[in-house]
Amino acid sequence: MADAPIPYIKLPGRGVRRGFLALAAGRCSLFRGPDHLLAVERTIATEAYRRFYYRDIEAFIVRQTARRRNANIVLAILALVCGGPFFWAATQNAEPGGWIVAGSSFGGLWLVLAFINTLRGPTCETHVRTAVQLEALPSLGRLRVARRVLGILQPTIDEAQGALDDQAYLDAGWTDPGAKPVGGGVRGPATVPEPERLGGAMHLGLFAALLVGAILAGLFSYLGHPALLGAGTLVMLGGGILCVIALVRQVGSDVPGSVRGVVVAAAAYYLLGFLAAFVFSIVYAIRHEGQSVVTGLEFAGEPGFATAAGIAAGLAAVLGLLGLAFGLPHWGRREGGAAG
Amino acid sequence: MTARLVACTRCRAPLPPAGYNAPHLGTCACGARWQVAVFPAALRTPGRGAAAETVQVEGDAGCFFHPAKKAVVPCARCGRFLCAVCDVEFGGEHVCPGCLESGRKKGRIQQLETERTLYDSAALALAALPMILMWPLTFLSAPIALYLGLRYWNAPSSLVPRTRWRSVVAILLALLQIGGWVVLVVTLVNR
Repeated sequence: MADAPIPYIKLPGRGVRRGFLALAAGRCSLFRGPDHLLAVERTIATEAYRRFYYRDIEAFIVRQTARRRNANIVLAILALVCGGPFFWAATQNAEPGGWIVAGSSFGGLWLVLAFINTLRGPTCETHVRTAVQLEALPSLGRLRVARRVLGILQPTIDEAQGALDDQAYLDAGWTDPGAKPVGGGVRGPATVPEPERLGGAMHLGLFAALLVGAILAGLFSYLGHPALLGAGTLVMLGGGILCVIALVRQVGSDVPGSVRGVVVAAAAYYLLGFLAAFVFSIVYAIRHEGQSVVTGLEFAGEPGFATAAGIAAGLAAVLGLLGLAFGLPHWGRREGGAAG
Repeated sequence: MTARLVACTRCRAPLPPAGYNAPHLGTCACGARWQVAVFPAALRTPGRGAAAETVQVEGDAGCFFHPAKKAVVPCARCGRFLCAVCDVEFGGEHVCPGCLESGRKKGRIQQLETERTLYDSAALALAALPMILMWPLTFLSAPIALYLGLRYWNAPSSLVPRTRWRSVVAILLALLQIGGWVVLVVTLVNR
């Protein structure tokens, strides 16, 4: 008779273990089992498993690396190489609008990636040590994620291993006062971080931006004034930036799942919005014999754009209202609690 | 006894216990910045393996594998009597080495599995990659993807939670590609 399936719970973080060729890179993730930690490494069509039983885990070793800085340098160079020639061409051309848009698009992509890489926090390498092995855990490649996972695992491991008293600690030869137990156990509180308490400014700003954008887009679809479109575009850009920041900062924080879900939906909304703008630009260029869109105000008189703006306004309003409905009670309650 | 210190993962030098479980990153002599979470297992002395008792009295049950040794527990899977040496405590059960090995070979004991083939991912890769990279290959890859998707629909997939969307998408893509080829062939024949 086969065993019943073991219930596994996914832990935060995912990473890549490089193979001999880039194609052989395995995508790694961690799962929490009832009595062991399961490290899964996935290639195109196979999965390899390594188990670390809680009773055997001696230590997690986290070492900060310079990967984030190095990646940012590479991304900045790519931005310069991809966007620079267009900006140079813009300085040489009487009508630089198209060159600037092209340069911003090709260079901006890499800068956005560098921005996201920066916001995700410092990078690290994490190893787990048992009595007979020292294994890398590539999924814990960011310091923030590694600390969060350790915080999740610590109670389970402590429960499996039991606490040692001070004497056992001294008998082992670890007499350094800094390593002495804190609060009666061997473990100190440091590696058990509480979820980060976010102030919520970015999230609430995002939801407000969605609502303001919705109002502006709604007014534009009704009044058709180009100034409304310009203001709406600026608010959308600001909202997009806030959305990226909120997405990154909510990792490992105490933000409720409902608010997280709205932020993810807002990210999808902005992504679709930017894609739609891109498609409209192409259509505009085809309809107007190669004229490029520079500010976005050119869309104002295009057929179907007012309808699309109306639909976008409806979606943004729903997301903004949902976000505020879920977020305000959370942050309001915490403010009240803090005040009390 | 002195416990083994945790070593820096870059230079292998032992890290001072003063910094273990500290709230901030410490700095190794090599310049690496580290943080260590140590658990009680690091301080435990390794236990000695159990020794099997010899059968003293006639009528004492002997181990199936070592008849001269006293049986202490039956195997939870095959019922054979086991001495302390042959008893393997695994997943809350006492099993014999034979059952453990056969369970591993037959994939019956999940906790011993070290690898699985993901047929749904293979089917999806076969359905999607040729379509993007070299579409004429779909003439061969689509039927294979369809076969994998259907044949292994009920086969055990990953050990960790996983839905069937890959199989569904692979089957749909493969059907579309096969349909496309049929239309193309029929059109060419009728021309």
